[in-house]
Amino acid sequence: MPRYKASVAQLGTAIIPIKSIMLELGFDVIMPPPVSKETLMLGSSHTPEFACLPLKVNVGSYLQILPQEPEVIFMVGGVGPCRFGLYGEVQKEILHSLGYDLEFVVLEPPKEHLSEVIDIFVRFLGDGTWRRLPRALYIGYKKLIALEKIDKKVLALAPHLNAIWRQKLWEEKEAFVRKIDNAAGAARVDRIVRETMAKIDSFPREEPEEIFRLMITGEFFMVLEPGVNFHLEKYLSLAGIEVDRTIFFWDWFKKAVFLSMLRVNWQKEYLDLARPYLSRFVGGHAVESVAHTMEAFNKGYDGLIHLAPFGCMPEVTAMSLIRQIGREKRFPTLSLLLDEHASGTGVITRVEAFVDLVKNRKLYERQGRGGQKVCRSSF
Amino acid sequence: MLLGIPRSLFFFYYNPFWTSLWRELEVECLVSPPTTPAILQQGLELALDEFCLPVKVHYGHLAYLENRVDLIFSPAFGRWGKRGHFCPKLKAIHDLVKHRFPRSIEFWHDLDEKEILQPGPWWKAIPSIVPGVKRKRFRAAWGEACRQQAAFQQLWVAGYNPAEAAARLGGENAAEPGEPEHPSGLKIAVLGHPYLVYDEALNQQILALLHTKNVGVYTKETIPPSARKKLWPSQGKEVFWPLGQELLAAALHYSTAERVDGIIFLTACLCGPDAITGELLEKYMARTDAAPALLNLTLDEHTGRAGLETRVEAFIDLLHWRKKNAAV
Repeated sequence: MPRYKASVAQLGTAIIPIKSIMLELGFDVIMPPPVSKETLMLGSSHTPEFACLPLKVNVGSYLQILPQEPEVIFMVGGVGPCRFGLYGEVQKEILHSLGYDLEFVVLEPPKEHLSEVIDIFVRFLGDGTWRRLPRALYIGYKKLIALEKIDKKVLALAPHLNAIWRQKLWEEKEAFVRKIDNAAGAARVDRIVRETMAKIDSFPREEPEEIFRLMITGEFFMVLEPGVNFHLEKYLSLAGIEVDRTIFFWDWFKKAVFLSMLRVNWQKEYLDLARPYLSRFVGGHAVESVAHTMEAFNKGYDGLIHLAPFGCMPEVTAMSLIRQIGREKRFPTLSLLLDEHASGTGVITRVEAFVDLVKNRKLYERQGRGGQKVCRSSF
Repeated sequence: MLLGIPRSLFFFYYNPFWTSLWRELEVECLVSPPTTPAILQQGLELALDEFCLPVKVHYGHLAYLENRVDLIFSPAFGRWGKRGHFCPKLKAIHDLVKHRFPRSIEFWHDLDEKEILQPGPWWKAIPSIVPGVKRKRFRAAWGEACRQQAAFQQLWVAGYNPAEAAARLGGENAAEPGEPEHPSGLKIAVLGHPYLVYDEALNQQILALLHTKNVGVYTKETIPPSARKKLWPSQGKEVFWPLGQELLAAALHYSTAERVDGIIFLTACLCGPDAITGELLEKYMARTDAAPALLNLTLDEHTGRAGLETRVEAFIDLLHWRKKNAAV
């Protein structure tokens, strides 16, 4: 196989395992730079005004890596009705009109497009490279699991530490991500995980009087990519709030690819939860978002933050219903619809206000109407 | 029992079907009037700001009907053909409105592989409107409604757009389709979703405006059925919103087979599918030799008649110049 210069779309830390798999398979991998204002500016000036933010970020990233001359860009497809399924086609057209002939290799869901997926495998892995596939996938899988394990661990542990140690915890986590990115084999990954876990477990605990629990749900990309959600998760976690993220890459991949291929109806569980409000699959993560809102309410979370790109069709549908749930059940929810015009200050101010309201509400409820307001802003 | 039917969304496609089905079942119907500023205003107040204009208008029509009827017919739109979907908002439209309008009853439009409307979901919903209806009676009514719809769509193929066809079926003496009285030789195709092209309050009567400018007006419904789903030569993947694919196919048809001078692409502010299909359309047309000129008009609740008219007039002037220059 000729050595292809390949790249992938942005997706938070989830692109680390993908990068690792591609390296193992012998691609020259070009990593897109972290999402910045420049990415958004470049992207939004070449995409339709009402396109959703992930498309703008993708196009922006590709334009940023163009000087390194990538030949193919791998991405996943979809069958609608969410617009994501047509990203490949639109990106190709946009870059073509700018004079670049980049090839987009779109991995469509195997359930509907099995033959196309096989064609791609034959083309890129046909000449014996496929023998390296099991090892590449194994290392990639190990890295993905390691990254998600640390994410869950850090989010659960942060509220039990004081502010200084929370800061150290996040520094440790970021160092961990870099180490995993550079790790060369599965055994090395295991060792890094063991070391880091042991280290953060030794951090001194300091139990707070009250733990506030928030759930973050919403659109896949907006939740996973800290570059577009203003590091919301880190921000809340550093403030000592227990954050529960509902979207993890492996979790989704398992369901959307494997279970769908086996024709297991994995959405049923979500649909059952969402049913009083949303009775059928409408594309994207709308059903999941509504179901997670119900779950957060049922499990006694203190509030829910819903992240979505501005104009996202499934999430706007979900947003209307999440509001309805919030009103009916008196459950605090905050929907943040973000695009390239969102400013970090604006978003963080709204989040701070929301968190303060959620905290005071809980304390008032505990103490009754006559109680003292005891919560100071934690930011 | 009075049943309210909102004159919004796909009413412009399905109105003979909806009205004749209820007539056959002897249910009295009230169709909401063409969108008025009051209806629009009410829709804006009830719907989420982030919704697109047609969905907001739909809320307005339901609100109009709410205190005037006993039950509201609330259509929702799902599968269309093998791989086609309506946009998520239209799929979930009943779920969105049912909390605000508890007396609305969902009627699910599910089109199978051959694009035939499935009676199953309707049969389940009908007893709440006509209690104790017999299956035989429902079948007869369904058959009659299908015949009416087929006659309606037959008129599209004959060159009447849905608005003209509905007027004709309603017994009005509608003008002959297509050509204006004093044709100027200019042909413009107005492409867009039916709830924009045929809702005169939303598009500021753009079809009538073009007629008064002596322009021949074409829409996507009147193209032959065989050309409805065609792909552009450079198109890699079919657009999975059937209306989106039909728009692209219609633009292809009007760019090549039945060439027009200009295409006006009507879209609603925040319409998700149109953001993508519009972009693809623009790029495909830019790549086609001697493609018609393209005007992209985005409509929202702030669209004013004067602004729209100015843009359309400027477009017509440009087309005239272009034609003259080409002739020299």
